[in-house]
Order: sequence, then C-alpha cells, then structure tokens
Amino acid sequence: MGWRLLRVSGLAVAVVTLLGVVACGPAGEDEFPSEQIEIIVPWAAGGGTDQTARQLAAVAEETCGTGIIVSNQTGSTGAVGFQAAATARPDGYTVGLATVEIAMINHLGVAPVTPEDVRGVMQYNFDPAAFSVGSDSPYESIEDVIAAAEDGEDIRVGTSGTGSIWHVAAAGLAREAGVEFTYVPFDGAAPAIAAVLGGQIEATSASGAEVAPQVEAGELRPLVVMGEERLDILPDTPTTQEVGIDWESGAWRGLVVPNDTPDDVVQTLNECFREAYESEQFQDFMETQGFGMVYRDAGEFESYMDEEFERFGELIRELDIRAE
Amino acid sequence: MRAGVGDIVAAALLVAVAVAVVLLTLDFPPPGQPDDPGAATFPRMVAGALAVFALLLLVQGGRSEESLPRGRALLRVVGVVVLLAIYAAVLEALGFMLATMLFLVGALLLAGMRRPLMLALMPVGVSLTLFYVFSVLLRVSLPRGVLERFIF
Amino acid sequence: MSGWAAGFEAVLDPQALFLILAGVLVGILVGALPGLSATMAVAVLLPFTFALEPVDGMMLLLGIYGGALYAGSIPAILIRAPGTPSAAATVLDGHPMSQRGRAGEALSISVVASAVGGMVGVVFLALFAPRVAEFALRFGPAEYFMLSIFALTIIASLSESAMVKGLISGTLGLLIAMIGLDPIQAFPRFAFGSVELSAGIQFIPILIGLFGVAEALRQFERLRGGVEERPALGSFRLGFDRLKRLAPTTAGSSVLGFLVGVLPGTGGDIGSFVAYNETKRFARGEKNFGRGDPRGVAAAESANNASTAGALTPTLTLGIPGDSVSAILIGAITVHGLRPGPQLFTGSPELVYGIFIGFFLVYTCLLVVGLLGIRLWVQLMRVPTRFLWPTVLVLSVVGSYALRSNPFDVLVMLLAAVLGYFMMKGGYPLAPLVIGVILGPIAESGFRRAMIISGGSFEWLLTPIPLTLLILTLASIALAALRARSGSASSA
Repeated sequence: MGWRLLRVSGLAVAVVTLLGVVACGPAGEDEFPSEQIEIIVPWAAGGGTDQTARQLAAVAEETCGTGIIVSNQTGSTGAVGFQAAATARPDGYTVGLATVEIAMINHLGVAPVTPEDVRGVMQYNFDPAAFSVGSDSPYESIEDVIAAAEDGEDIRVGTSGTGSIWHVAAAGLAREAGVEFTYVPFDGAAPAIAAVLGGQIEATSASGAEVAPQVEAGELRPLVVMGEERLDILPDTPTTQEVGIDWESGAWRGLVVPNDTPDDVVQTLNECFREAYESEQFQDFMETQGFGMVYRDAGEFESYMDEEFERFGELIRELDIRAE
Repeated sequence: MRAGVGDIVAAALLVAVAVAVVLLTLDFPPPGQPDDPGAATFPRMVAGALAVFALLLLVQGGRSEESLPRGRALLRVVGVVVLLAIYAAVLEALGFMLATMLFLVGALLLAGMRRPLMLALMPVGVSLTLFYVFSVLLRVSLPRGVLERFIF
Repeated sequence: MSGWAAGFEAVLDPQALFLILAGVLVGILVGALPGLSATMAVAVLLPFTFALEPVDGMMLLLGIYGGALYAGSIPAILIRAPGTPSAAATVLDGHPMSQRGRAGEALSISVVASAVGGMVGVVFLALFAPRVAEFALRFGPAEYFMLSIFALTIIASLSESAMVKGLISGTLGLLIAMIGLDPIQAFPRFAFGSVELSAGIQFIPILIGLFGVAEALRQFERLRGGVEERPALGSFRLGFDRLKRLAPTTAGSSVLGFLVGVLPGTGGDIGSFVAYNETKRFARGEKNFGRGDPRGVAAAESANNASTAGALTPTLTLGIPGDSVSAILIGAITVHGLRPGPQLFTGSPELVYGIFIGFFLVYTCLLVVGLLGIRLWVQLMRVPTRFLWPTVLVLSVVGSYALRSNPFDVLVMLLAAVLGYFMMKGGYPLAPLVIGVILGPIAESGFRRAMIISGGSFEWLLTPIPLTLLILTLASIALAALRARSGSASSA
C-alpha cells in the first residue's frame, strides 16, 4: 500500500514538474528582469507595511513582467530585514522594503545598519503621526494637553515601542511644546489604542490610518496631525503648523537595493514599480486603507533618507532614548 | 529518591547558566523611566529561580526516563544532527532542491536504506514536490539555486 | 433580524460556499505543515480577495483560519510535531493516544472538538460580541500580568509527577524568551552584538525542534534494520457514549478558549493550555492526563478553535485585532472602504452577519471535510518510518526557514531539537518550556507597563480583576502542591 502510494505520488510529481517546465518555458536571457524578484519586508506578514508591499508586488508582477515573492524577514525593529537587503547580491533580484526605522535604529543603538548601506529605488508612502485621546477625555485640543502637562499632570502616552517612530514623534512634539510626557511602550499600535479605550492611559501616538477606525466609531479623539497637510481620513484634525507647533514627523516606506546594484537595473526597477504605484488598483488600495501617497524617485529618495538619518540622529541624542 | 549522575550534571549546568545570566545583566542599562523596574530585574529573578530549582534537583533527584544511546544508535543520532547542521549551512548556497536531495540521501543511508533506486527516486521526488508546494503554490520564499532556476 | 436575512443572502450563494470549501482545504494544508501558519496563508491570499465582494473574500480567509487551527492537531497526534503553536497542548494526550493504537479515535475527536469549539465560539461572537469586547478593554497591563502569572501555574499542575523538572523546564522557557530586545527599553539582552540574537528567538523554530525534530532523533535512535513496527490505528468511530462523555469538556473548553481569544495578544496557544489545565483540574481520574486521555485532546482542540471567533470579537466591534490573523482581516474589510466598529453592524449588516453565518459554515464544512479526510491523514502512518522521518526533518527545516527566510532560525530549531532530546531522556516535561516562552514576555511587559502607568506603586494589585486573578493563582498553586504531595505519598 505504502509503496503503491509512493509510486503514484512519484508519477504525479513528474507530471506536475513537466507541466511546470512547459508552462513557464525557458527564461529569457540577459534582459532584466528575467527571474523572480524577492521583496524583503522587515515586518511581520499581515501588518501595514506587509500589506502595502504585497499589494505593490501583485501589481508589479505585471508591470515588471516577472514573478515577485514577498518574504518577511522580521526582527530587531526591522534591522534583520534591512541588513538582509543591504547584503543581498546586488543584481536587482532582491529588493528591500525600507521603512523610516532604517534612519533610526543606528542612532538607537539597536543595529549598525544605516541608509548609507542601501540605494533608494523609490518612496511610495508617507504617514504623519496623529496624537489622540479617548473620546471621554477632558482634553479637547492639543493645547489642553500641553496646559495640563505644564500644570504637572501625568500625561501617559502609549506608543508602539521605545524608539519607535510614534514614540519619537510624540517626544519631538513634547520637546517643541516644552513639556514632558510619560511614555508607555506597547507591542505595536493596536494594544496602545486599546489601552486608551480601556482608560489605562491618556493618549496614544500612532499613524492616522491606525486610529481612523476608532475615530470614526467615536471612541478616540484625534487632537493633532504631525504633517504638512490635513489627512483625508481625519479632515477635522488640525496639523501641528495650524496649532503653532513647529514639528512634523511620521513613517515612510520605500524600496531599496544593495549599494552596488548597477544604475540601469535601478532605473528599470524604478520604472516598473512606479508604473505599479500609479496603477488604479494600488492607488485605490492605499486610499481606502488610509495610507498616504508620496512618491520620490531613486535619487530623491536617496537624499531624503540621508536627511532623515541626520535629523533623527540629533533628535535621538537630544531626547536621550538610546537603549544603551 | 537520590540524585543520580544525570541530575548532578544537569544541576551544575543550570547553576552555571543562572550565574552567567546574572553576570550578563550587570551590564544592562538602568531603567529609562524612574518607575520602570528595568531590563535587568526579570532576568535576575528568573535566574535566581533557576538556581533554586537546580539545587532542589540535587536534594530531591528525579526520575530519568530513558538511558542515553550507545554504539550504533548513538552514531545514528549524532549523524542526523550533523547532517541537519550541514543541511542548514549549505541551504542558501546550493539552493533548496540540491541541498534537500543531498540531505535526504544521507538521512536514508543513516536509516539503513541501501537500495540504489530508492536512494535516487525518493530524494528527487520529495524535493521536487516540496519545492512545488511551498514555492509555487504557497508562494513561500525558498533559497533558489541552479536547479530551481532551471526547472521552475 | 433583517441583518441575519442580509447575511444569509450574502453567504448562501455558490461562489461564497465554494470559497469556504477552498479556504478550509488550504487551511488544512498550511495548518498541517509545521512552520506554515494561518497568518502567513491569509496574508499571502489577502491581495487576491480584493477583487471579490467583501463577504466572499472574507469566507476564503475565515476558511483558512478555521482549517489551519484544526489541522495543526494532525501532525501533533500522529508524529508529535504540532503543526501550529495552538496544537502544542494537543500533543500532550493526542500523541500518547496514537502510540497506544488509538490514532483514529484521537483524530476523530480532534475534528469534532475543533468544529464544535469553533461553532460555540461563533455563537458567542454573534450573541455577546459588544459586551464581551467591552470586558476585553478592561484588560490593561496589570490584568495581563496577573493573567499570565495565573497561566504560569499551569506549569506546576502539568508536571505533578516531576515537579522540580517541570519548573526547571518552564524557567528555561522564560529565559529563552528574554533573549533579544527587551519589551520596554528596547535594549538587546543576551545578544552579544549579534543582530540575529537581538531580534530574539522565534517561537515556531523552538516548537518544531523541541517536539518534531527531537522525536525524529529518538526515532532514528530506535531504528533497526528489517522489521517495521506499525502502530495500530484503531477505530475512527466515535460512539454516542464517547461523545456524551466528552461533551462537558468540549463545552467548557470552548467557552474558555473563546474568552482567552477575545483578549488582544492572547490566542489559541494560551487558550488551549488553559482549557487543558482546567479540564484536568476538574476531571475525575486526572492521573490519565498526559497518558492518552481523550478529554485532553477534546479540551485543547475545542479551545483553540473557539479562540478564532474570540479573536474576531474585538476586531469587529472595536477595530482592535484579537490576534495576528484578525489584524489581516481588518485589512480585508477596510480595503472595501468599510471600517470595523459599531458602525459596521449598522452600516453593512450583510458583512457582519455574513461573517457570523459564514464562520459557522466554515466549521460545518470543517467537520465534514475533516471526518472524510481522517482516512487520508492516517496514511501518513503507513509510510515506512525510514522514509517518514527523513521527510519530517526536511519539512522541519523548511518550516523553520520559511517563517523569516532566515537560516538562523534553522539553527535555533536544531539547538531546540538537541535540548528537547536531552530533556526527554532526562524526564523533563517539554510543555512547561513552551508555556514559559509564550507567557514570559506577556508577564514581564505587563508588569513593567503597570509600574510605569501607576507611577511606581503596587495599588493595581488591589483592583478587581488582578485581585481575582491573584486569588485564583494562589488557589491553583495550593491545589497543585496538595496533589503533588498526595501523589508522592501514594507512590512512596
């Protein structure tokens, strides 16, 4: 019985393999890309970054004309994935997904990797931080919160981890306003939001998209958005500029490749991923999920990452949130 | 029940681990916030508990269920562990299919399989099936080597 | 009532029903393969559901979710390798049953208990969602800390026959979980400057190594040339009697699994251990547990499937995911311009009630497919062992690697296998280590957050939920100590 089963399955495998070979046909030579591309996502499957990457990959399979597979190489605030992308073979078949953390973790003492280790391909997203309180909170505006903190009240702000972008965004806001908050680090934005709803803490700092469901349900009150413009999903929430605080911060996402990748390969990747970015399917996805659409080409993204790296260096030193 | 040789070795190892943990925590940073117990507190508590349990093991002893293998049995167990280590080490360099085939041939030999036909067919069949299921159907990223590029 | 009508209309169409079936089948495949999880399968398939109607897409994803949580038990029972973390507790009695020639019965119980657990969970979800979700919100850091301390006492009661060794095993689990960035300060503990270590030890490779691969090593040790020993499979039938005897266990465990699932951050892995432990605590003849008691399988499997509906509760009512799969389901909802929360119930009743009905159908489908499939799963036992175990080893390596495409995880798996092998040899129970790894981070982060929030005072210990949990913890320890003493007195 076992033997027959084995033989039958062996035959099945042979047939399937043959079909696979025939269906795929011989891969084209030389012309990039002729093979499967792998996108390294440094965050877990199913999270916001992963969702944007998989959606982009699904469209780019057509625009780039090759199979694209997503692997989640998580750990150490993204360091494992960034490192893997930086040290991959520089042939363009391994594309890294860079998030704002790549400009932060070196300063935080988490890992040595920096934007210097990778080459930008394109940026496709920017999400400003939103500072929110519970809807039964006595604070109606960010000025109320700042006044309360000045009076010595303890404002406990839930963040998605010490040294996370949402922590640094809130800490930067507090520094600009000249007050101090207590930061309670959680394992991601969702539990921090739950803690505000449960009344264990006063406020949370997260992206607009992350708080939008609770805002719409009337359970959270967003007080300020730390971006240049108001968010479509939070149209009634003022920006930091509007309330007179000179502070902007948020998360961004983009694609990178190892440093030694040839120019023409970077160019090809940029073109086909840009086409995917501009597709209706991807634009619809980003809009309904509440992700901000910001595009920068290879060169612009490269210098933007460097600017961010400089800026976070100063800020993290000043705020003294380095782990060691 | 008295402590046997196994218990004494285990207890010594565990106490060593506990001491090492405490020594390592001496370099941990102080808490970032005044009310946080800090990064070192929990590891120290757990290390302390481990040391206490290890000493209890010496006092109480415990049942040992099975004896360790000897002779050929020992060779087979060590052989599998070594094979697995090599497999893990060459996985990315050789690609999934080639590494898997080599590993399976080794593992089958260790398991006492001597028929050449089976030693050839089974590794090829299993590695092809698994690569197809994982990489093509489930879209899991597996290391690609020469064989994968040629076939899929 | 019109909500239910709209829900029925959306779900009872051929495409939705087909997607339920397809989802369950995919779920069973990924659930049975160690290392592949429901989370991964749902994340991979999510982009393909965007083109479907919201309800239809949801059916596929819920099918995967339910199917995977059940199928983790198949390899747990047959080869002692849990296919998902939630099936770790199923190993405790499922594998001994299989060794004693009752694999067929164990598999049947696992299907029925999974399906019933899932259905009970869905009914609770449909009836009590908003109220239960409010309760979940009252779980802050202090509550999570005390809950995890209570759950840690399971270690004591799981290792009554080898108390000290069980405690050592659990403590090792706590230590392993401390490697990597600490949850509050993000300081890399015990990392020795390595990025891999500072990322922490992944749970799944540990689980694969500790159970599946350690068992494979033992099998290699025992291999003898020539004669193959084939364990009997036993009957697949579950008589009415048997079902009746398992009913109280299944019902109670379903409710417990559902409640643990409701709490964000805790899911089927903890739920099944809690349910197993409570079943054992209140059962007569508790000495049979761990040696192939059918009630152990029923408890673990009904609890982990009930936790899926539990996880959906805060997801649908508050927009706060109960676990990693439901976090992705939020994406599947928002992509259609809908937002989870109270307004979803009024705004798109066909989706909400469609989910209730569809998820119930998922478990109905699972019951049928599972019962039909058992005869297929057990063929695994007919594969000659010298082919079976090398293949299991390959699957273990793939499963560990696939999680993060990282060879480091394969190394962790191998070390865990060697550790597990020596622990088995020395009579150290393995389950406490798993419990320590799961609960350690929840306990530590909960405690430290509670201290930061309370400004350094311990007053949170006297608030209602933590105080209740504290009393339960003390009672649980006292009971375990009492039983351990009477146990050692009778054996002396």
